[in-house]
Amino acid sequence: MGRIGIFIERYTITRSEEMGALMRYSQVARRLGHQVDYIFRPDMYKIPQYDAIYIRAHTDPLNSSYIAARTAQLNGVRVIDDPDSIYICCDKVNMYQHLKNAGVSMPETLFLEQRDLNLERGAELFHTLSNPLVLKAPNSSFSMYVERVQTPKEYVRVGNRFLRRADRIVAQRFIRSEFDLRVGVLAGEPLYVCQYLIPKKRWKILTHIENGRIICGPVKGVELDQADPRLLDTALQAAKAIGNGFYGIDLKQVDDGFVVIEVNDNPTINAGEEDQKAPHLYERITRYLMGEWGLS
Amino acid sequence: MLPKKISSGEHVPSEPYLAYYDHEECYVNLSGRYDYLETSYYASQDLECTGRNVHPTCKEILDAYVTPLFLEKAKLSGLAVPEYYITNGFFEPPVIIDTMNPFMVRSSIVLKAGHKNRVAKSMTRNYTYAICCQELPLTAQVKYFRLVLGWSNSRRFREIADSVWKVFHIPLARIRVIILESGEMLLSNVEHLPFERLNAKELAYLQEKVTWEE
Repeated sequence: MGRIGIFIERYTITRSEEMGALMRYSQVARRLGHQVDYIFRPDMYKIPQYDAIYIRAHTDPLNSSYIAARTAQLNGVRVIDDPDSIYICCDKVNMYQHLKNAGVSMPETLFLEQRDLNLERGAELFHTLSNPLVLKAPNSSFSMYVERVQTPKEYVRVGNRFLRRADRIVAQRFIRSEFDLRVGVLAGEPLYVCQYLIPKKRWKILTHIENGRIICGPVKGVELDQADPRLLDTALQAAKAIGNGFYGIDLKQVDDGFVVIEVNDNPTINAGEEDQKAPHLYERITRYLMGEWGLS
Repeated sequence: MLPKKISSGEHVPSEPYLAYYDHEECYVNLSGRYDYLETSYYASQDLECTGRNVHPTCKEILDAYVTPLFLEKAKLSGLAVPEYYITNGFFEPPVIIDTMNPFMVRSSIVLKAGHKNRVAKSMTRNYTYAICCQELPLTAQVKYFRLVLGWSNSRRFREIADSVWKVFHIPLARIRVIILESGEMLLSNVEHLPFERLNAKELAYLQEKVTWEE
């Protein structure tokens, strides 16, 4: 029997689907003979006492979740998400640089600094990357600080706003689609595939609107054995470029295959969504955490 | 680009202050200010991404400047640190408090219980973020020393400076220590030491040790 600590924050469980996924995970882990505890920030001193830590909280290198992950790693405790994956994926500049170095298929991507934020450079980028283009702050998540710009003036305005968050930002060729594909990968193996449908009149799967509401589309599960092998190959290549952890790879289909839009650490797992066509998802996470497979 | 040897008056280093440290066969990022996602952080990241041996790496920056990780890593490496805990707001003075949030880097020494609530509310941003509290013995002193490639201008701190460099690989830093009545030094925190603030002796020491990147 092993002891698994699930690190959560107060805001982790805001939707019933999030709660449902945690409950399902706990049940499976217990059925496999393991003890499961929930760990909050003040309990972090207990991390060395566990066999494995499963982080289910917003990850950022400056947040408590990174401290939990790195504390686990320093003490030899197996952890999802590992801190290396967190600090690479939470900085899109670093993440895309890893993908570029590994030759992963992705939309043309450039890194910009303050000196690039002028109208002339904007016009040049629209010519090089197409119009519209997508600007991303490096430390964005859940589609926040990801915006589509269509004029040099808009490019300068949004770019300057994003540069308040970091000294570099990302510019990327825009690829239109009706849905994003997400492949969940753990230890170099695909765990699940799903489609995130883009709501009507929107261009990304999640849109934060002014009154704090979030507009998102439905999630449709795809059987792993029904997924296009090229999709899985591209996703696995992207995961390998980052590490051996647990990732949600976002891809879009293009004429000649698939391109990686981004690699997310700490991918969302909601009951009835990501797990709908992946009955063994929770068991595989547990077995990975307990060191029964996926050792790198 | 080949590194250029610095000699007095020949080369004035400028941002991002990259140099080659011959003794350890590595590049060193001598900005001294390694804020997450800022220019100097990316300078280290760029070198890492091209496969070059550089200090600090992004991971080393986070290990050093996120206080509970600094304490945990120091402890696991056999360096003396105070007792510490992470809390959402509750603590018992006397303590040294360091913030743990993306929007604020602050430290506070709280000696009296009467200040507890005000400090807790402020340092946690109204109890939103956690704080790291280090227990501070009443007779202890809090001191700082400056670290330049594992060396300190002050003889008293040279041994501990060398240890901090070996574990953390932060080339320039201001280190907080708690000195107990017995004279024992406990590592407490790392702060920025910008290159521009180095004094003449520290610059001279660097000039002997590194070759500047143009």
